[in-house]
Amino acid sequence: MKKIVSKLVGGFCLAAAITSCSDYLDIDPIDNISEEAAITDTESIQALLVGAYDRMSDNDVYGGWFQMTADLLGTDGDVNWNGTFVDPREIWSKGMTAANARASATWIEAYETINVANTVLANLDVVDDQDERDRIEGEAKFIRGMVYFDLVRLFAKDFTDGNPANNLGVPIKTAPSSIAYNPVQNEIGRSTVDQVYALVLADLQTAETLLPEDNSFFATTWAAKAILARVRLQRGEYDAARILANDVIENGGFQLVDRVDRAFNQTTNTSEDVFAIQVTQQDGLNDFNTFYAATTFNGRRDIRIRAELNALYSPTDDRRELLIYFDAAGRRLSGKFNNQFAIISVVRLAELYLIRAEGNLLAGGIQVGPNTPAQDIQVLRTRATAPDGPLVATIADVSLERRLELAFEGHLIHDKRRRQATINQNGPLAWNADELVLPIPQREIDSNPALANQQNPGYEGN
Amino acid sequence: MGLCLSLTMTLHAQERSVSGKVTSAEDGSALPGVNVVVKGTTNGTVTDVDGNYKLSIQSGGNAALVFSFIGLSTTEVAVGERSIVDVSLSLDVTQLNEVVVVGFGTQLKQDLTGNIAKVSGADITNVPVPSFDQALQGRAAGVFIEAGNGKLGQGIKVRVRGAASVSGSNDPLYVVDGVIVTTDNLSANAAATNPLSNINFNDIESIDILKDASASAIYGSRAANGVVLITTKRGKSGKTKFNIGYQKGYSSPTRTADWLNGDQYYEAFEEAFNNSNQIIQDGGGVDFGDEFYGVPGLTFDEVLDSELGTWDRNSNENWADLAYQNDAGLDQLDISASGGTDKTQFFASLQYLDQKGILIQDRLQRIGARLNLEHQASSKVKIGLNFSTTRNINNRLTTDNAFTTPMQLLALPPIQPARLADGTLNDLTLYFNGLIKKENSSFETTVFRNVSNVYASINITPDLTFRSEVAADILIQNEEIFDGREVDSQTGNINGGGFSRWVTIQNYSTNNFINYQKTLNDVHDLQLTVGTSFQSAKQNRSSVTAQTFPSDAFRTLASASVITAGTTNATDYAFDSYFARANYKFNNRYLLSLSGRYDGSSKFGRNNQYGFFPAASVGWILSEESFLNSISAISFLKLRGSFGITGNAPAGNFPGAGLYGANTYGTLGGVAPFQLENPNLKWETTAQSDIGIDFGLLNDRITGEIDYYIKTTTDVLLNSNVPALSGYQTQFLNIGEIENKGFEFVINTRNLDGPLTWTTSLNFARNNNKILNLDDQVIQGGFVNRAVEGQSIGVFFTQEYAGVNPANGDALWFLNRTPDQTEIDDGTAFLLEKFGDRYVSNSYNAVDRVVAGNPNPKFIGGINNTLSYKGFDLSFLFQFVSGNDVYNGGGRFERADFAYFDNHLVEDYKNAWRQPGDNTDVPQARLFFGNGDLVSSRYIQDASYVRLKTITLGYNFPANIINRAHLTSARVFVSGQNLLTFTKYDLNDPEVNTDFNAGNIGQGNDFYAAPQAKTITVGINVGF
Repeated sequence: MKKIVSKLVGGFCLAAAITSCSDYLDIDPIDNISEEAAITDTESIQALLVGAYDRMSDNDVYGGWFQMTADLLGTDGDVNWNGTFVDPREIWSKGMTAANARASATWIEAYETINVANTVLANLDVVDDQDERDRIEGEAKFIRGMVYFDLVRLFAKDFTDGNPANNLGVPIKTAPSSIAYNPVQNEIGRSTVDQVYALVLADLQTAETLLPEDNSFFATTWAAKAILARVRLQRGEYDAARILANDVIENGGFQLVDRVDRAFNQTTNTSEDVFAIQVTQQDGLNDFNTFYAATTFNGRRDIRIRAELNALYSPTDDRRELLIYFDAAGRRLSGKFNNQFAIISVVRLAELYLIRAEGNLLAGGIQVGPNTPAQDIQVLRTRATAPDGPLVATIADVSLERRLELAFEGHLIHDKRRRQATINQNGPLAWNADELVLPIPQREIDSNPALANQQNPGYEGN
Repeated sequence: MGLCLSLTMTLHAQERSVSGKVTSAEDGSALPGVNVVVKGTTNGTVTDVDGNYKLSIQSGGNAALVFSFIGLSTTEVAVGERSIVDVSLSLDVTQLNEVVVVGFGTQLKQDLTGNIAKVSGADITNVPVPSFDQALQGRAAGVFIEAGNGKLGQGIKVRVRGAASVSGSNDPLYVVDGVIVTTDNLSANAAATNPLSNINFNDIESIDILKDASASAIYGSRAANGVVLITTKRGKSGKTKFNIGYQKGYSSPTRTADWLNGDQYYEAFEEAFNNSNQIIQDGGGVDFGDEFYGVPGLTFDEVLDSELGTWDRNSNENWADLAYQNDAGLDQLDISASGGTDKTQFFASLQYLDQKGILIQDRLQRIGARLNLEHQASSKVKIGLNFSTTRNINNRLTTDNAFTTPMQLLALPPIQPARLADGTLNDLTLYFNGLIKKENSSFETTVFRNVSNVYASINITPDLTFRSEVAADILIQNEEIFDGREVDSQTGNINGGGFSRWVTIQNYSTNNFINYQKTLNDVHDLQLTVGTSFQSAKQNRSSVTAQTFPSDAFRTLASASVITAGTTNATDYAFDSYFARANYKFNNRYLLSLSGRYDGSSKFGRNNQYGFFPAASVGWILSEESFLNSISAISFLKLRGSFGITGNAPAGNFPGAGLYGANTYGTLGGVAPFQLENPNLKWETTAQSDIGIDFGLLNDRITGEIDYYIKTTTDVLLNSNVPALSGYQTQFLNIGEIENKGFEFVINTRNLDGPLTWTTSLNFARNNNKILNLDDQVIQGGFVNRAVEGQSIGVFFTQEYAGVNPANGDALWFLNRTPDQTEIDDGTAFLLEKFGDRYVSNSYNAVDRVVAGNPNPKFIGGINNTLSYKGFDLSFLFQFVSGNDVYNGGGRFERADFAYFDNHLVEDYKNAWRQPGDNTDVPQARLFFGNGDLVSSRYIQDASYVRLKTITLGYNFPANIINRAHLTSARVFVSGQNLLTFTKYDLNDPEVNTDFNAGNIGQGNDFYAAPQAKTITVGINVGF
């Protein structure tokens, strides 16, 4: 009101007002801050790093859709999509269009995460303390490497499909975008699959070196090793994969929880969580809960378990007894996501046992670690009170165990690709069919001239 | 105003005196302030507070008196030998003489060089809608008004001469009694609310819509979308007049679609199941159960068991009807008093409105009070106050996109009952049973609004007036949501949840300006206005979200166990402005007007903080020229032309600032880049030229206006897409060019005078919107709307549905490109006789998208007829919108060829393809296999309509009856709103735009949107 009164006075003298009033137009935002104010000291870079984790926890990325997309694409008698949302239905039925909103949301949020990580990495010189700087660099590279890994897995051909040095991957951006938009920085075409994997390996290896063993719920060297094991496995580098997995199992200090259902629906990391996305009552969105859980657990129960998957479990298997249930209307649902405020496990120790088993089976040479593949499988079956597995495991046994143990955790399509398995549900489709690769989002092609003629096969029509 | 103050009297020899009383022909009341002049002299006076005058005239001769008053017919009376001459003045039917409100002043319509559409407050009195903008539908040429659906208090789309902005606002600027009022959508959910619904529009004297640049440029950087000036009622000196009005209304939906009943539903889906089963087996598969569940041998009933859970073959529930409430309608009470002395006049009013929407739970209650006061403090100084305060309570609904919104009930299978045998609501329905929401939740929005100003005007000299206005528009809004535990599955709460949000907007402004008016040598009329204004608006928001209540009996957040979110935000902006206008009239026939505003705002980038918005216009009143005097058929003719520049400021407060925002991970605070910077960001610039003709024929029995305009908007505010790999999605830029051009045609006729009067008013407008340049960007909105160069804003861009292959029932789309040979060889693309030489395909992904429809109307208009005979009056307004398309986003669920278990339209069941040779547009029903249920032009329809918008029949009791009852007037009426709608649109109402997807680009979309309300009201008005 003071302004008005003073203005009123000023109003009687028009000429005087011209100079005095322009000051009132200098209004700054209250809820947000400028770039200069955001990047000042160690603390501010640490806050940016937390910001990168927050972006990474978005429901379009590790809060749900990186993983759910992989499972809906890979389903082969595992699940049906029964929801009304059309875009996930297109993924499930392998009938995606270039306009698929899930694909574009995942792409957008993934690159948002990468940009925050890049901003951290470009401003490390602000951090004085060497140890702090190493840790922050390690965490940012962990985030960036991991996100690029999942992007290239979903938006490009598999590493082992043809020649990765010729196949298009995703655009690589390793510098932050300036706050005043610069097209030169951002009109970038797709790199090859090989190039993207090279960045993924470099980032995760740096993270492995720089990260501490303990780091609250943030990334540790063990998390970097675990994701690296995944990357090596997907590249068919089984020896490297088993060595990394073995390292985490034997030296990481992680422990399987006593009963399998206790690995899920927890609000803090369990002893078997190598890396998990944090969700609290005030922050984060667990989209697994939204789409898997029954309405009684605040879900939409859009993803329903089919009889075929259920039949793969033995009746005594806790993974069926405790983690598959029927809702009031008799729909068969997964019980892994009944708590809307639960953390989201990204890598569990159980997966590393199976990576080690797969690596030992396929790499040949001397077994890494104390367990045979059959024994690694048995660790999980025993914990689940399932009947004993075979004494000598085959690769089919490992694949089956992955399907049972890691169901709905985002591995299906990637596992299918490694085994070059045909997908029969809504199929048949070969492991490397065009329909199993997400489209480069149409909005991205429209806004980025460097992506002209770089759409994935099968989506060029529209 | 100048007229009222020029009290001069001259006395001459051999004079005699004449006196008399001037009254209103309309209601017999005394008319103060009427100019009385002896014809051919400057000898004159003004009537006093009781309408009396006294005047000396020269004896003998044949003197005549001329009585004139703004808004009333100028009347000439021969005095003869009389010494008492009483006169009653009727309303001026010559609309060219009416006074229009312009920015910071008024002007006679005949002297206007700009284009202003005026709607009298009396025309929209008692229209049973919540806000006056909605009541204007069909009444102003070139002003397109659309209510997105039948929910109360929602955002209304108003477009004056088309839309010119992609990412800025396309709404006009609203000014109430000189105050720029807050019109921001303040809704907590995706369905916009309308702050204009806080205004009691029975208080409105007139609405003047400034359409061309000449009229609006004085509002500078916010004028490009037109300016709506609202003037509220003032008191007149004289006996205090009281008026009490009451009306009661009954509402129902205008149009509703036909949905399958229980038997039809079961049979339709059984057919779809059988069809799919056949297709699976023909393809070498086992059967439906094996394909979709891994369980061979499933029967249709078992599939229903699996998908619906519980169902009852005989329940035959009519879900669609359950969305509506039976007691929809309104009660409205208006009380007003006006009057005053010659020094002080007042108008006071009180309104209570209680309106129940057609949808369950939808309700709006308004209590509004107003006091307009004006006092002549001295011969030079006048002070005044316009004070209004309102409280609105709006019981709102979830957006059209929520399972809980009443209209989504229609998706539920009729073979699932709404209630179980024990009377409780069925909570095992295919989708959430929205009736559970109705019984266990509330969503109440309360708005307290005070729009007030005080002003003083000083006559420095008789020609020079200084006026100062200080205004405050204070808006306080509270939204309270409670959802019981029964709704947890839809809200994500555990054991219930609540949400409380407060928004305050403090919008202060001041205008200080000088008006100078002078006539030189009788032929040079000059009007000057110079001034400054300043506006500052600050918005604060706070909200808390919480869940887990001990029981549903606790509803406030104090009792919630888990606070899931709490936030406060603040933002503000300011405008600093300098304006001037000069109107010059030479010899009563040559008109020139120049105006401009120098406007600065905090919303603009720091490199572009001020802009200048000038306009110029000329007019030529040909009917004053001697060469037209002889043509008696032409009573008035004016040519006018204008050109000017206006602006459109961004809607947001800091769109050009480079920003980082805070976030949270775990319990730690984080920071991340948030918005790209553009320090050069400024307003959109609209250059508008307008040429027009105003005419009056046959002694003004026919009057009208014809206008042609071209609006070219450059530096379009565009939230421009950038590659998301930058980490950002958009940047706010000034890029591009949009053109709106068209014509407007207004004609008013007095068809019958005499005991039976009949007048007709027609307005008709065409606007052609075209995006000329958008920097090659494609900006998407709605479901399939887009802004793209060469097209109108918001065109539908999608696959073009061809129809059904008569041979096999497949849905087909036009390929819309030349197929390559392999596509022809493998059958992806083929020709069918039915579709001529255009290639079609049943492979949706193979076909190209095209522009398949346009949501912008080609023509809009209205035709209003008013008849009166003795005490009766009848008026009816037809309103029409033509050439606009609507995309039904819900078609993928409700017209999906029984691909999933949503209820379907009866006509699609009847018309489905069933056997080879069937010639239909509805593909074969196939459960779980999509067959044409993808986004395509199949769901686009022409939604042109003609509507009997308002019809009112009234009766005014004659004077002898009301006098006996000591009343001054008494009127009863019955009125109908939206009684008839003529359209080919085959869902619900054609006037539709689903709330959650509405925007500049998201236009013309249906998605479980409520139809409009049809309302019949009866009412009574009594004056005493």
